Amino acid sequence: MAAVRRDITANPTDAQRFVEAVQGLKQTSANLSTADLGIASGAAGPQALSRWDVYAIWHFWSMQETFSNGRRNAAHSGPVFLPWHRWFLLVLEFDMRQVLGLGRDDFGLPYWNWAADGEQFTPTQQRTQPDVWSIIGGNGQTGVGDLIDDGPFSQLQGFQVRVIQNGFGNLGAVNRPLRRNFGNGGSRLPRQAELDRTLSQTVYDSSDWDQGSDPSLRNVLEGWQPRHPQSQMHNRVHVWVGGDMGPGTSPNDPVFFLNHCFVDKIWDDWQAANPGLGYLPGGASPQGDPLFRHRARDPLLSLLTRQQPSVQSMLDLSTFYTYE
Amino acid sequence: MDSHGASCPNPHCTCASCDCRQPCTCGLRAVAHNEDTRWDANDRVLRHTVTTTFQPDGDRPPASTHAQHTAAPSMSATDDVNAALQGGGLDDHQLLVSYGSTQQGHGGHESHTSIRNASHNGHRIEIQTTYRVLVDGKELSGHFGVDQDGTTHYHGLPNYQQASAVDLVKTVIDQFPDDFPGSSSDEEEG
Repeated sequence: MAAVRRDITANPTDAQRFVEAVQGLKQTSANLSTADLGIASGAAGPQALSRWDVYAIWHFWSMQETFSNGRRNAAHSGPVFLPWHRWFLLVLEFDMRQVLGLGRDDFGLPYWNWAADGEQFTPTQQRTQPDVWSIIGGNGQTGVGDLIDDGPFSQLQGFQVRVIQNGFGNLGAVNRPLRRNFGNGGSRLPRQAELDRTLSQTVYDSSDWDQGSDPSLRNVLEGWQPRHPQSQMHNRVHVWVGGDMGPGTSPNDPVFFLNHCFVDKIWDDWQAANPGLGYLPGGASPQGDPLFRHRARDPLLSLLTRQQPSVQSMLDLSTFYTYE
Repeated sequence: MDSHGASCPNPHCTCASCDCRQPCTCGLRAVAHNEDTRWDANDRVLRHTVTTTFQPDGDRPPASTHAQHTAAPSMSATDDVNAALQGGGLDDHQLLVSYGSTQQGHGGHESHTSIRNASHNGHRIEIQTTYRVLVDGKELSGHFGVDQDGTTHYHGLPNYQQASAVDLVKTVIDQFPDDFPGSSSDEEEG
């Protein structure tokens, strides 16, 4: 047995549990404050952190551990992008089950199939029509700072953002509602043809193992690929949602996990279709290697667990969850 | 600031109490490192085993602040990913706190130089680019960089990529209205 991860719009129970789990983690103290972590207080003063908030901090700090003069970090712009986020989601999924009081096979993190919505709706319709917005709340309100005022993660429901990465690149304590700005920059959601092109990649990753890697499933799916700017996939979704999905503290918005769960499903589909194409690069990084954190036997940067599992331990988690 | 010094013999220290990836002062030297991950069908857990063997560095006694190195589970015992997920680690934010202290110490904002390489007619080209970006006189300390094809990126907006650094900074201003409040007297300049 294993948990089953499904489309959030296809199963009302999954959707309800996801919302309840987010709210539950948001209301559960992490027994930490921003001051404990050395985060600047600003006008809001030090903020008590919840078990939800610490994921945004973990994600941000993964970006601060950089390699090759900033070309890649401990979780992005390199091969580890997919395994690191698989681990990130797995930890959250276990945390969610704990707060829901469910067993290990009784709840799977749902995903948002943004390619289906990108295919079905025009860019204007994408802002209002997809069913996912009726579950997790929709766009922020223009003219009032793009603040969300509907759905389960609005200010009315007590969902306040406590820590953000500011424009200067630093963490700061805040106390304000979540922000979204759909269609940010005139962009649109990815489409099915772009998803198909992603799945047709014939290698997991390639040198120089960064934002310029081509061919590379990882790079196309992460969304760099400057040669194919129309196919930005994961990055495009972050940019399109906008608001709090923009900076390194993007896990503040629950849609972050719906996006990444679909990214993980795409990787899982690619793995199933290409059993002979393994993770690259292999081995373990020797001392001072610029690919540290990105080779198969390197440790993932895991800040909410005592252990740091290896990259390669993320390649097959079918005993923990499967996709439907 | 963490307790690590610059001349420690154990630069791959991954102790749970600091995890800063900086040289530590424990006085120990890693001489062997083995990892193995496999599914334990009997206990239904994913077991990740990390075994690191240390030897004392002859010139430096072990520092008391890192005396746990030899006993820390993550360094010498079986790592049990499942156990960590099911509660043992999730309520324990010691690692987050200690990582935060190292982030303060490191600052995380040392300047980065992007290096692009190419060759042309038998000549090797290396272009080093370091950005220092100020808005209203205040420096943007998140790293700016340039990719091999010339597009620019900013760690403060990790999912963005733009052909022009000027356009990228304009995007930063637009995306962070709290930090860069709008002004009615704005004038567009080249």
